[in-house]
Amino acid sequence: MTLSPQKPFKLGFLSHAFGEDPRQAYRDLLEQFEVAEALGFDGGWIAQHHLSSGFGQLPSPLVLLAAVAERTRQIELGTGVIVLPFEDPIRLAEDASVLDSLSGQRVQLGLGSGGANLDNFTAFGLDPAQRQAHFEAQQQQLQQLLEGAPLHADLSLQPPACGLRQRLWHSHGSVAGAAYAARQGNGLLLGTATHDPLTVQKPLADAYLHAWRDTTRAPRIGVVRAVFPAHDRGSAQAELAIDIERHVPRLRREGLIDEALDLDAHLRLMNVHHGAPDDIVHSLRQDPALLSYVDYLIVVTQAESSTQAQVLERLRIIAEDIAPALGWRAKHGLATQPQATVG
Amino acid sequence: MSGGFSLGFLTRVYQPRFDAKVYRDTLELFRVAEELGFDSGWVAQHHFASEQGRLPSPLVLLSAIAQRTRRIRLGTAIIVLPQEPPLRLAEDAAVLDLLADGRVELGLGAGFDPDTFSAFELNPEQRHGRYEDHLQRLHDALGNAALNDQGLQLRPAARGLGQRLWEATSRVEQVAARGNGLIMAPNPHLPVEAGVELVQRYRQGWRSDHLTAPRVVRVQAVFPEGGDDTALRQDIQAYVRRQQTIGVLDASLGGDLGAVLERLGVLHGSSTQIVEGLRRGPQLGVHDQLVVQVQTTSTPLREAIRALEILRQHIAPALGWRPGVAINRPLEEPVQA
Repeated sequence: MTLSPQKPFKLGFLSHAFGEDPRQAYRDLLEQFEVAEALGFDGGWIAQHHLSSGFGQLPSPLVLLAAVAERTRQIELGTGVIVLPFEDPIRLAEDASVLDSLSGQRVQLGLGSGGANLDNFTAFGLDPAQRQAHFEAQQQQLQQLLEGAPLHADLSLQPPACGLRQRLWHSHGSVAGAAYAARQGNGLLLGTATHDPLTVQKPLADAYLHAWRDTTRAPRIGVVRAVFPAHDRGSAQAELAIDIERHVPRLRREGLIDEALDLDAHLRLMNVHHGAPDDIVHSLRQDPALLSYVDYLIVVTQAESSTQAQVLERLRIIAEDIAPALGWRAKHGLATQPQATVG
Repeated sequence: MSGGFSLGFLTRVYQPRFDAKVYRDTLELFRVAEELGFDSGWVAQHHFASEQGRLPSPLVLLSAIAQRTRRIRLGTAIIVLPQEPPLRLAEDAAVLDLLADGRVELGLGAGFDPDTFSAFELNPEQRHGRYEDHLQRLHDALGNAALNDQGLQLRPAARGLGQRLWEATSRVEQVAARGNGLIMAPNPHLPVEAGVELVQRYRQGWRSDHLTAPRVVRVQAVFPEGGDDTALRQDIQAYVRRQQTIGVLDASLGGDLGAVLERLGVLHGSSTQIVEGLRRGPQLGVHDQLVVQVQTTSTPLREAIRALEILRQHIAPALGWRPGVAINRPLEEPVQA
């Protein structure tokens, strides 16, 4: 086998804080961060879910990450993503800056326009049709605040946000949006929604890189992938079946899946990499929007009915076996090096 | 003041020039206060470092504090409600309350600094109307009401947090009618009796059908003598000069620290003198709290800890406070709508 040079990337995980009992879901999240840090993960990212419309239990990632910051020392604290139209940009800038101070500048702030939250706009007194314009106005205001721009009467953001401006990310579903993220000098998050890697995500990544103009800093692409290692493909599918089929009606409604297909096809359409570690390494290498683009690989290891033990075991296998085979090296933590393979 | 009240402290997270250490110091103050047996700690919200208060995000900091403490109640005194999106506030408070095992006490106020309202692109003249509107929305969300036509509700559901709201306002009849707690501080421009009367009006306005008892937080600045009072002297002088410049205090107020502190309604001196001063305020019962502020803008952490120790050992017990008397309310099950 020939060694292809792989550009260095960071490894993170993303959690949607699933679970019946929110208090337990938060405790589990805290433990996931502690375990991931010990395994050498570079970051943990939390999705924001509002109100009772879905399965995610956490509307306040920055409040939860402040708790995580007290239990960890090095791991980066990401949001993947915050629904920006529902936020007051000043309050968000303040909360993010306080968290950044508390955590020793570990925040990575991912932002989205709320495409997966259309039902929630009316509860926040907003019109979902305006969400893209809303996003751009608020994101620019947020950036100005983080840069310390003066407001009325020369007031400015307090506490000052040291460098947080350089740690913003956008999630976009359109080529125009990806190019916009580049022009703003921000990172691009791919795969936060169910988008096809070849026909949707790859063009987004290309448009983003093409539109990047800042010569002082490099573009950065985060790629979210569902990664469910198990003993073999059959046992991985058995663990996943209930949760995948639960999504099928919604995905059909949203036009992302054309018709009822079998579980194998659904897993493929939803970009779920599963099976034995070798199977997963193989399928991630085939992913057309992954290894030649990724600066931050962000794995999802929790489905709605996953147990905490399953999530932690998947994180371990990813840090010890899968990510190293793709070229990732832990910068810190206790990760053991994979054994050299012969052959 | 009768026995069997709760003892708390309030920090405004002051600092003359920002350094992230101010948050670590606040964490440490909560940890020490819990060890000393304090029942509650409260943090103030300031935007854009108005009055040199360094904390715009009390719920974020309290989430970190919740990881370092187990028992002490975690309060805000206050959050400037007209400047908060009410549904986001409800979400953040509900999450924090679960992370903190039901220890959150949510204190709210209308705010006053016109410049900060302008920075939020809000009209300061409309702050009271906006306060009422946001309070209603917050109350609905925490009561797990339907929030739109599809019947969406707050998630996580709040567990009893709607019964742990506090208001800092002189409109005490409204606070009583809503069944919320009252946060009151002595008004230095009025005699002590005015505060006593305010609390009486609040208690008289309480409706018998409220599910909880009336409850008062009495905030009092207290500076026991005996430590290094360099910072106190400098801060008070600077404060008086500022207040004189904007015409709130008359220019005749001189340089004698004791006289100035008395004029400002701050208790200072020996433990005996402070106990005497505290006895002159409103009576506090088992549902009420004495909440002391022991820091000015540049008080070092060790001075704040010294003051809390004296309060714990010499002052609060003389007023009838006993550690562990405070009511700890367990998390209530969410109300099914």
